[in-house]
Amino acid sequence: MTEPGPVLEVRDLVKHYPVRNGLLRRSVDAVKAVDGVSLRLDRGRTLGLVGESGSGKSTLARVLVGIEKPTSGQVLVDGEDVLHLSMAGRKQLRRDVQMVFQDPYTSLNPRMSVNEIVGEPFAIHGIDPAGGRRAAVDELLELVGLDPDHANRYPHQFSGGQRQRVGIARALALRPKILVCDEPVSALDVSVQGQVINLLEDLQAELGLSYLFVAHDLGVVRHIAHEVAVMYLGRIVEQGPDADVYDAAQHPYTQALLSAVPVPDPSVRLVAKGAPVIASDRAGVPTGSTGDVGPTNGASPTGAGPSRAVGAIVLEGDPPSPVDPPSGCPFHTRCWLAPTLSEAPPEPSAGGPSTGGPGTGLRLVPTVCETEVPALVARRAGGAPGAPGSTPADAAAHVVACHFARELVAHRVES
Amino acid sequence: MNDAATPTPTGRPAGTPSHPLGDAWRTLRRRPDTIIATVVLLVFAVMAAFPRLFTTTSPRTCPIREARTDPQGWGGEHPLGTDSLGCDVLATMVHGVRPSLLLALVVVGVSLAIGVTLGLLAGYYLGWVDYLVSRTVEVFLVIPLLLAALLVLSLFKGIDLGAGTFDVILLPAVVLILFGWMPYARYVRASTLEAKNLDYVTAARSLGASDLRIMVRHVLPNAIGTVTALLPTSVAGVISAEAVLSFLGIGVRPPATSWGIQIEQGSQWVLGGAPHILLAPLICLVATVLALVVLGDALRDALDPRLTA
Amino acid sequence: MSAVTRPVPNGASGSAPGSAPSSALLEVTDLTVEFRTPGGPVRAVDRLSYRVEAGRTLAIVGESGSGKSVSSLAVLGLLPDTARVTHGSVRLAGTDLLGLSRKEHRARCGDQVAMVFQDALAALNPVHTVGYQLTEALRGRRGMSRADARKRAVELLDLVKVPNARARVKEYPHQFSGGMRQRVMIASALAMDPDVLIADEPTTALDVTVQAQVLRLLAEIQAERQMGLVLITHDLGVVAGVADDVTVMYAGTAVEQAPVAPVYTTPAHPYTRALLRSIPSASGAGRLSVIPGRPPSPGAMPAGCPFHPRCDAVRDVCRTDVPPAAVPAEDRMSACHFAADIMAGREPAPDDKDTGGHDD
Repeated sequence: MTEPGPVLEVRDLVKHYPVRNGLLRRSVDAVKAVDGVSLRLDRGRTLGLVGESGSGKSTLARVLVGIEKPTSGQVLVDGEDVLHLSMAGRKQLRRDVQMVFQDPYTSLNPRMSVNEIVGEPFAIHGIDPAGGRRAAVDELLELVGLDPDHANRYPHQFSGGQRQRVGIARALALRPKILVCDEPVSALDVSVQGQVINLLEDLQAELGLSYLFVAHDLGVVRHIAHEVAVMYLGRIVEQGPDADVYDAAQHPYTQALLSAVPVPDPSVRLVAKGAPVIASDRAGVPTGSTGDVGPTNGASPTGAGPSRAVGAIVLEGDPPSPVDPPSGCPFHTRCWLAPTLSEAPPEPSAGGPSTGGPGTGLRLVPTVCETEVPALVARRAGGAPGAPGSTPADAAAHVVACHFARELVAHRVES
Repeated sequence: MNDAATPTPTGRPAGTPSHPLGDAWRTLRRRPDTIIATVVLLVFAVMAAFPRLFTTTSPRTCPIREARTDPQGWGGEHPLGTDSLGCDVLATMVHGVRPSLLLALVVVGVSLAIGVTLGLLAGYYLGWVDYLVSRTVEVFLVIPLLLAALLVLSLFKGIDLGAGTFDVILLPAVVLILFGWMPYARYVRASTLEAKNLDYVTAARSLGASDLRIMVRHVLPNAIGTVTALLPTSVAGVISAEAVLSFLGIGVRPPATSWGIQIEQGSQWVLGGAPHILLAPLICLVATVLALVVLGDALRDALDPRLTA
Repeated sequence: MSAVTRPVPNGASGSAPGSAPSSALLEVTDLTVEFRTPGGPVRAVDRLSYRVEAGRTLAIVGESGSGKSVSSLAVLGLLPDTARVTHGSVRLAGTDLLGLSRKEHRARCGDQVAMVFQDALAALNPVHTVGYQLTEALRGRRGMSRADARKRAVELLDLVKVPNARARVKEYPHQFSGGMRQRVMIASALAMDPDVLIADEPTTALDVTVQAQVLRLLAEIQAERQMGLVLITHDLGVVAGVADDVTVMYAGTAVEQAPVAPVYTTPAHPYTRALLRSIPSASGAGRLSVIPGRPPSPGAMPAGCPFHPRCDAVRDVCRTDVPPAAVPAEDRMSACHFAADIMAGREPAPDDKDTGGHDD
C-alpha cells in the first residue's frame, strides 16, 4: 500500500444540473455546480475544501463518493478512473471512498439500531468479516470510542457527538482509503466539535486514511488540513499548503473569507463604537451588564456613515447564481479589490486598464476581469507569474486564479 | 476523553437488549384502549370463524309474518328483532361478519400492496415510471365506480363462480381493488419523494446499497406512516361500498349476506319504525373501525423506536 | 433618509421605579423555568439574572440545552405549554411582565421587545409578500393605512440595506437569499420600534461573509437607535466582535457574567476557559484541547457544581456544594468555588487527600 502517487486525483471535473422547463421538459439551462475542478489528495494527508454555500463544495464531495455522476472529467482512485470501470469494479472501488455526513441527526436511520447501521455496509457488500459481523461492529464502535454494549440502542438515545461517531464507524466499516467529510462537525456543539476532530486525526494516524475535509469553518479546516482549496461558484480560486493560504492569501476572495471569520478577540470590533470597549464605571451589581450609557457613549455616531470595521473586508451582497455565473473571473461582481485597480497599471498583456464597459453598472473593474477567466497558476509574492507549465495538479504549489494576485500582497502590506 | 461512558439521558441500563417487537408489546400492554380494541377485534374474528357460537338461528329462515319484530332481548327468539323480510337480525349480522371482514381485508391488503409498490417506484425513480403511474392514477380516479362495476359485471356474466368463502366476495373484491389502490399510490409517492432525499438514504447510496435495499429498508419504513392512518377508514369504506355494489348484483352473492347489505336494507326502515335493523350492523361496523384506529395508532407508536425509549 | 430614528432612549425608558437602577431597559432577576415531563419537573433555566441597557449588547453564550433560548422565550412570554416560570421577575421599563396575564405580556412585548430567529425561512410566511409581513403588526395594532404601511415597509427594507427596496417589498420570502431573508427578519423586528431586540443565533445559518454583513448591520442599527440588544449565540468569535457584556450559560445557569474584554483575557470560570481553549483557530497545530464528556441532561443534574464532571480543576467541594455567585473582581460574576484562582490563572489549591479520576 505504499505505491507512489496521489490516492485521489480529480481532473477537470464538471457537474452541471440541467434546469428543465416547459411542456417538453427541454433542458433550457444548467446549474454549474462544479465547473472544472482539479484536485489531488496524497496518501495520509488531509485536503480542506472551503467556500460559501453554493460554491459547489458539497456537490464535489457527492460526486467523489459516487452519489452523483459527473457531467465530465475524471476521478482517479489509486490511478484508476472510477468512471470508466464496470459496475462490479465501481462497486469495489467505491468501498475505497466513504463519506461522513454533516448532520448526525438526519444521517442515521432512526428505525435502525446502531448495530444495524454500522453493520449495513457488510450487508450491502455481502462481506462476512472474520469473527462475524457482530464482532466487527463491536470493534468499529470501540475504534471510534463508543461502548459496544450500546450497539442495540437506537440513534435517538445518543447525543450529537456520539451519533457522529456512529456515522464515522459506518464509514470505516469497509476499510476505505479515503474519507470524504462533509461538514462533519458543524452541527455539533462547540465543546464536542473538538472531540470529533481529535478522533478523526487519531484515526488518520492509526489507519493511514486520507481525508477530503469539506467545511465552511475556516478555523476547523486550518487545524485539520495539510492543504487547502478555496472554492467559489464551482471553481477553485486558490489552493496550497494551509500555512501559505491562511497566512499569505493571494486571492481577494480568500482574503475576504478569512477576514470575515469572527475572531475570538474582543479588541477586534466589527463596528467601531464611540465608547471605549471596557466601560466599567459602575459599582457592584454582578449581573453581567455594566456601564451606564454615559455621555460619551450617547454621542456615538448616529446617521453618519458606518465607520469602517477594523481590519475587516466585508463583501457586499450574496454570491451570484450558479445558473448564470458572471463572465470572466466569477468573483469580479463582488471583488473588493478590482474597483480599486482601475488606475493601477495592468498586466502588460492585458492591454491597458479599463474603467469597465457601459453594461457593468456602477462597478468599474478592469476589462480583463470581466472577459478572461483567470487560470489557476502559481504566483510568488512580488515575483512574476509562475511558468505556464506549472499545473494545478502539483499539489505542493500555492496556486491562485486571479489576474491581479501579485498586487494583492502589496495592497495588503500597505493597508 | 470520549463521551461514550456517560449514560444517555433516555437510555436504559447499559447492556439491556431492547428488541423492537418486545418493546412494542410492552408498550401496547400499558394502554387500556388498545386492550379493549384487541378484545373487540378478537370477538369479531371468533364470530367470523364460528358463527354458530353466537346464534343458532339460520339467517335464511325468514317467515315474512314476523317481519320487523322489535328486539326481544337475550333469551328471546329474536334477540335483536327481525328485518323487513322477517330474517333474524342477529343471525344475519353474525353470518355477515365473515364475508364483510374478509372482503375488507382482501381489498385493503391488495390495494395497499399495489399502491405502495407503484407509489414507491414512481417516487423513487421519477421520470417515465412516475409519468406512467401518475397518469394511470388520474385515469382511474375519473372513471366512475358504478360504470366500471357494470363493466366487470358484464365480463363475468354467466360464469359460475361457486359458493366458497372467497368465491362469494370475488366480484366486489375485484371492482373495489381496481378502484381502491390510487390513494395509497399517491400518498406513498409523496412521502417517498420526501424520504428519498434524507441524509441517511444518501448515506446508504454512498455505501453502494442497491435501489431495492434503499427502498425497502430506508425509504418505505419512513414513508408508510401516512398510509397506515388511512387503513381503518378504508375498511369502513369497503364495507359500505360493497352494499352499493350488491344492488348491481356484484356484491357479496346471495345466499351469503354481509353488513353492507344489512345496513343498506336497514337504512330504509330507520324512520319506518324499525331502526334496530340498521343499528345492529352499524354499531358493529363503527366498533370495528374504532378498534382498528386505536390499534393502528398503538402499533405505529410501538414500532417507532423514537417513542419507546 | 429614513424616518425611523428614535428620540433619546432615556426619555422613553427612564421611568423605572423602586430598587432597579434606572438605566436598565430589561432586567431579568432570578428567572427559573421548569418543563413538565413524565419524569417530573425538569429545570431548564435556573436563577438567571441579567440586565439589558440602552445602546449596549449583551451576549448570552451557551451550548444547545444550556437554557439560553428558553430564557428568552420566557422573557417574551412565548414558552410552550409544557413549560412555566416558577420563580423570578422580568422587568421591562419597570413593569414586571410575569405579573401580567399572558395576553398583556405578549402585548407589552410586541411593542417594546422584538425577536429575530435563527431560521428566517421558517419564520417568514411563504404565501405573503415581504412587505405585507413587515407591516402586519403596524396595520393590525396601529391601524395604519395600506399606503402608509407600504411606504413604511420600503423604509424598513432600506434601513436594513436591502437593495432596491421599493421593488422587493412585493416579492415573496423564497425570492430572497439567506442573508437577505435575515435582513427582512430584522426589519420586521424593527417595525414596532422596539427598545430591546433579542436575536437568537441570528447568523448561525449564514455563510461567514454574509454573517459579517448581518452582524455589522445589527450593530449599526443598535448603535444608531440606542436599542438594547441581546445576542444569543454559541460562537465566541461572534461575541468578541459585537458584544459589550457576556453571560456564559451552562446547564441552565449563568456560570460567568462580565464585560466582554476580561472574559477573553482572564476568564473566571473553568467552563469559559475551556471553551476559549477549544476554539480550533486559536490552538494552532497539535491536538485540540477539548472539554471531555458532554453537558448533563436537565433531568439528571450532577450534585454540586453542574460543570464538575467535565471540569479540569475539580476539587472535592465541587462535587458536593453548589458554588455561590462569586465576585472575583468588580463587575464580574463567576459561579465557581475558585473563581479568583481561575481568573488569576492559578490552579486552585489541591485537596488534602489524593483526587483520583472520580468521574461520575
